[in-house]
Amino acid sequence: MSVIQERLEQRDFISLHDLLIKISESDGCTLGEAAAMLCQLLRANPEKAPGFTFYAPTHGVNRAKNQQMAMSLLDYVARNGDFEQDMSDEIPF
Amino acid sequence: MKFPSDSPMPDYYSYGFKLTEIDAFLRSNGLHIALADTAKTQQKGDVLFPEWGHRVAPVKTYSEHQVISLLIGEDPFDNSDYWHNDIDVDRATAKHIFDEALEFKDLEPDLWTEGGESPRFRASTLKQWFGRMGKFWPVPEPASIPSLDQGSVQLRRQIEDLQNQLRPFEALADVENELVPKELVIALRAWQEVTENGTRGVTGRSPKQHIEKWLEDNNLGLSAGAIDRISTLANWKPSGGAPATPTPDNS
Repeated sequence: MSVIQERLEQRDFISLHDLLIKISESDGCTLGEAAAMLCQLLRANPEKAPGFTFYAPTHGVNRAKNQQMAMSLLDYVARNGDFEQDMSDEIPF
Repeated sequence: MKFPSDSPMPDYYSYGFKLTEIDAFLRSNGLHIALADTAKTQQKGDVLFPEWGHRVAPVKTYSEHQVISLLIGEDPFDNSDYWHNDIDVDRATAKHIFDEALEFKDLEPDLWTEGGESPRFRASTLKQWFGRMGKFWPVPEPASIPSLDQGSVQLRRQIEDLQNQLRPFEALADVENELVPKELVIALRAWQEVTENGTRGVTGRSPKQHIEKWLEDNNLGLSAGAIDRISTLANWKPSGGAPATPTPDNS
């Protein structure tokens, strides 16, 4: 791995995707259960809960402008048991 | 590969948390999940430690309320909620765990303050106690300052000696210094070139003639008078005369 690749990898960030996968793999629970637990913890401790962040290669890690959007992504997994599919790149017929 | 953007599209790759913050949050709620790959953590340093962990790394001992802050994963030097009358449930639980540890001698103070009333705990003691409880110790080891070996110390002294020797010539090397006589600088340069910095004599012509030739060959735009002055200045054998040409008998 190059120095720059390594530097880029050293960001203090974990995506919702990776976080939920890690929790479910570590605990043996489902993705939906991991998301439900996270939703409950975040809502139960709003003062201590970390804010959502947003990572972009051009800007690095920043506080997410749309905190509600991030929460709704988690809610979706908690309700449906899987990630919401991005339909935008489907070819329309 | 999705292109991340802060857009209303479902983007589970771009939205997330600061790793250190979500890790501390989950731990403070009793969830110990290995969020970072252990091997990566070791390679890249203290990925999981909170930002304040690096600041407090050199601290040797902690007071009671600081230990309780550490137990709940908070900065032990942030006293913002310490003086509140309402102690939250996390802090109250941590205080109970701490009191029990003292009572059952799972944890013993390393020293006491002068009045003998307040216990203090070494970081190493606390780290072991946290380990026994299966809790994450949020403070990294203080960065050690590499000590210089004997060779490096000697080299450093040599560099300092050389710097001291060169100091008188520093001004001469400053081409923008109006006080530096240009002909003196050129004379020095000519002498260095002709004698290979004082390591080689000349043969055939006199030293003055060698220097004059060097000045002419290098097209410095000098007048005949300047060439004469400079070659006189740089001539290391003003008594005149060309040195004897070496022969097989006297070489």
